[in-house]
Amino acid sequence: MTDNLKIIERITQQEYKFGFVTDIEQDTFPPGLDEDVVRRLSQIKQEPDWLLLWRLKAYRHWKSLTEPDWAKVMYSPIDYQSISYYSAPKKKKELESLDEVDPELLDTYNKLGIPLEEQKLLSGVAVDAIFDSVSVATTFKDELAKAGIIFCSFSEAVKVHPELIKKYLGSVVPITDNYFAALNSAVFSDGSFCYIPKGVRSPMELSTYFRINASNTGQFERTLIVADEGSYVSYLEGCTAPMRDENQLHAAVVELVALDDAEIKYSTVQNWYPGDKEGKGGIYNFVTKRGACRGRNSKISWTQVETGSAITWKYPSVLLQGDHSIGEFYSVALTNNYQQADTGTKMIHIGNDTRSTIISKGISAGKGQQTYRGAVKVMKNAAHARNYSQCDSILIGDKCGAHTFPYIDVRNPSAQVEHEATTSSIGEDQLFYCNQRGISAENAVSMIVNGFCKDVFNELPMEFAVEAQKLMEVSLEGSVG
Amino acid sequence: MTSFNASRQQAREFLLDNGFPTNKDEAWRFTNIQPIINQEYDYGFHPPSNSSNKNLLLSDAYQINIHSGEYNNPDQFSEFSLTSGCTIERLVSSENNSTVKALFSTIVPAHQDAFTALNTALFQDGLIFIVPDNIRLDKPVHFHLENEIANHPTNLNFRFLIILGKNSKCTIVLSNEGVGESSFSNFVTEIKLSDNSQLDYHVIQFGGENDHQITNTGISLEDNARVHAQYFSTGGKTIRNDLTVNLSGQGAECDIRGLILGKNNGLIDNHSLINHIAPNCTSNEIFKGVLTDTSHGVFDGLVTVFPNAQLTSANQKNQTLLLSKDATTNSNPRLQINADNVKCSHGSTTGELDMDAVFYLQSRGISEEMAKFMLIQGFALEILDSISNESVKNILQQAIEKYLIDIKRTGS
Repeated sequence: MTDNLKIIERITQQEYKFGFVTDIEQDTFPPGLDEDVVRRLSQIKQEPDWLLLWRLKAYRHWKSLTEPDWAKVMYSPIDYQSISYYSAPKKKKELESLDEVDPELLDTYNKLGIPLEEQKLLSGVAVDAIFDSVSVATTFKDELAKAGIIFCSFSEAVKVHPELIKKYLGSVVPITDNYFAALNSAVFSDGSFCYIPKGVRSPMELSTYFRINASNTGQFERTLIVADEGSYVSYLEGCTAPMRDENQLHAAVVELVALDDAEIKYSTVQNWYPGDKEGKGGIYNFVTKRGACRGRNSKISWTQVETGSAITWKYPSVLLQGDHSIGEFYSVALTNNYQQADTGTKMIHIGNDTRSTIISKGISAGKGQQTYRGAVKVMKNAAHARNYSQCDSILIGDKCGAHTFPYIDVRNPSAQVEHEATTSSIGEDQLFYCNQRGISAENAVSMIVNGFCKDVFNELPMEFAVEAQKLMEVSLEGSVG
Repeated sequence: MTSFNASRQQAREFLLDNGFPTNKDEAWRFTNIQPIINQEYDYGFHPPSNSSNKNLLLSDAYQINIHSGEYNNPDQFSEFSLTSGCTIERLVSSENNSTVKALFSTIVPAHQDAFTALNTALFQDGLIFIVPDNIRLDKPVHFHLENEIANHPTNLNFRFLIILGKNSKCTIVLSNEGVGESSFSNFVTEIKLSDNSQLDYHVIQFGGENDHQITNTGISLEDNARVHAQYFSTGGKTIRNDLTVNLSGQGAECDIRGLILGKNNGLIDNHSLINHIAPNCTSNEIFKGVLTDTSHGVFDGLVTVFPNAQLTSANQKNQTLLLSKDATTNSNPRLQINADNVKCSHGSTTGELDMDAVFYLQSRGISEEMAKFMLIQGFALEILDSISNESVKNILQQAIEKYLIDIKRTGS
């Protein structure tokens, strides 16, 4: 097993490739959280009264809660008073085109390999680039507007489309949902809003690149996507963050609403700073993601590739309310060094003839700890619900852990619910077989892992599939010598 | 070790400090214990009635009756010891026995949960059963309890301490037939299997309409020991079984099977923890459930592989058949794995009868009713396949048939 030991060594010694800090002047609140901070935040964002009241209600509720501790992750307690709740790049003037964007900022994106110009020209992806908390550039807006699609920053949406925000904000993840959702509702700084009108098929993939930049700044993004009757949208979210020693908290909320015959495909590639090989630093990713299939024949599909973050606490869920609605969850999660992930999904079957599929692949290496935690619930009146879940894990090295905690709750006899899971290491016989055919051990591991994740990668839009495979390769690069 | 009195005192303090669990406690989320704890119980012994139910008599076994904590015939122990070569004694009179001293309340510690603490604090009696090294019993040993109808609901806290010596082999049947009004039996069973020993362990629970049965069993296995444990539960208001298997010796094996047949508004709740502590161990676990009326079935199984337990093989499966629109099932098959060279899998399925299969049988001239009967029976019988003792198997087969005829009669 010396090969495997080398794999572990190489993996654990891999430095985070995207760790650098952009030096831009920032408007930042001093650390601390009280009602005043919420009021000031709301004031800076020039929000209407109803939103301020909503935030305050969330803040008061948050204060009454205690941080949950049921997840199988360990971290030193977070001091919520030592976090600054607002930070924005200094605004010079309204930007008309990419040329006006701070060159240093553009440089950051270039280092990340996501040059805006290139994306704009070549890939046809509209990018609402979020740098810390404020949107600095929005592209392809006009083209989307032509189709009637609203795709803008959350703060803009509050100003321009208050009726939509008022109707849907918090309708899927209410402020009382959980500790981190309540915190986010109180202090969310910005995010993305997307509305696809009736019968419109979005002409391009929508994507947002999140990036955490300012030290000690928690990011509280809020994403709301509403797909009206018969519409379709594919939304991509990707993240990288610079190297930091202090833990950074990220508590985002994503809400999806799909009405009759609508379909939302939400894909994430997450590669935040996971901490160094001693487990120091890294992002805490405590995210609440939930979609509601409100209408008949609606469909919501979550696909995620999680390779970053020191701690991941994330359960993208689907409420299957409409008859014949479909929920899907495809996930690949990789934990390495001291990374911990407690992730999975919830499928709540409420309407008749609802279907859900869960495919979760976990790879645990180094001293990583990974937990799949999923719930499938079939309510009493949900006739003919169908669920299939598959959760497989691969362990690389003898110091990591992989855990599977599915919760299955069935209250209707016509439901058909299946769950299966396997856990194993990469077999020496598999490696030997590849070696025998002239494939190096390194390539063999990469092949086996990529094959293992294929079911999920196949679900990703093309651009992301490439990025995801790259990420896996980077993680496994030089893993066998 | 400490004396019984000291153990009782400690358990009592634990219970007073921690109280009974609520549905906010993860392990008790689905077990409503209010009807159990809100009842006043009589802790006295009651003589056995003559109308003993003979549902549960094995044709060829060493039968030991425990009726409300009293034994039919104390002489049966000495007679049994003579013929079998094993030792059996009442726990309350064995406080100074060295085995009891060494093992009492160690395999299932009192602080494991509230009901174990309750048992440890209040146990009326128990049995210690020792199979010496190299003894292989040819007949099953059958401990049978009937909860008697008393003027008051009774609470029986009873314990078993079972030790199998090296290279020994034995089959133990523990049956509990509840007929009492709101009676509540709370059993703690501690089992130690020495090197190369082999145990077939059957728990058969026939719940009465309003009675509550709680069992907490701990099995500790040394090198190459094997246990085949089988739970059969039907009826009752509340049946809750906790099972902890510690595979602490290399090459140990456990095969856990369970069948629950739920009816009326009963709750049958099985919790199991299988700990792979030593390398090279194998565990297999399968629980099946058939639920009708407004019954509720719960399976919560956790397999933990410890960091050094390489070459572990673990399988876990839960399958439930829902026969009525008001039946509910919860299934939590959980894996917690901290070693890399392992093969572990689990699966869970829930659904109703496959109407295609019913149709297939109908097309061959079998009535719909009969087709359903056959399919449910086939589903349930799989659990009995591996039972080697014919008379145990017969009793359980009859119980399955009786259950199916009952639900047919009530038209569900």
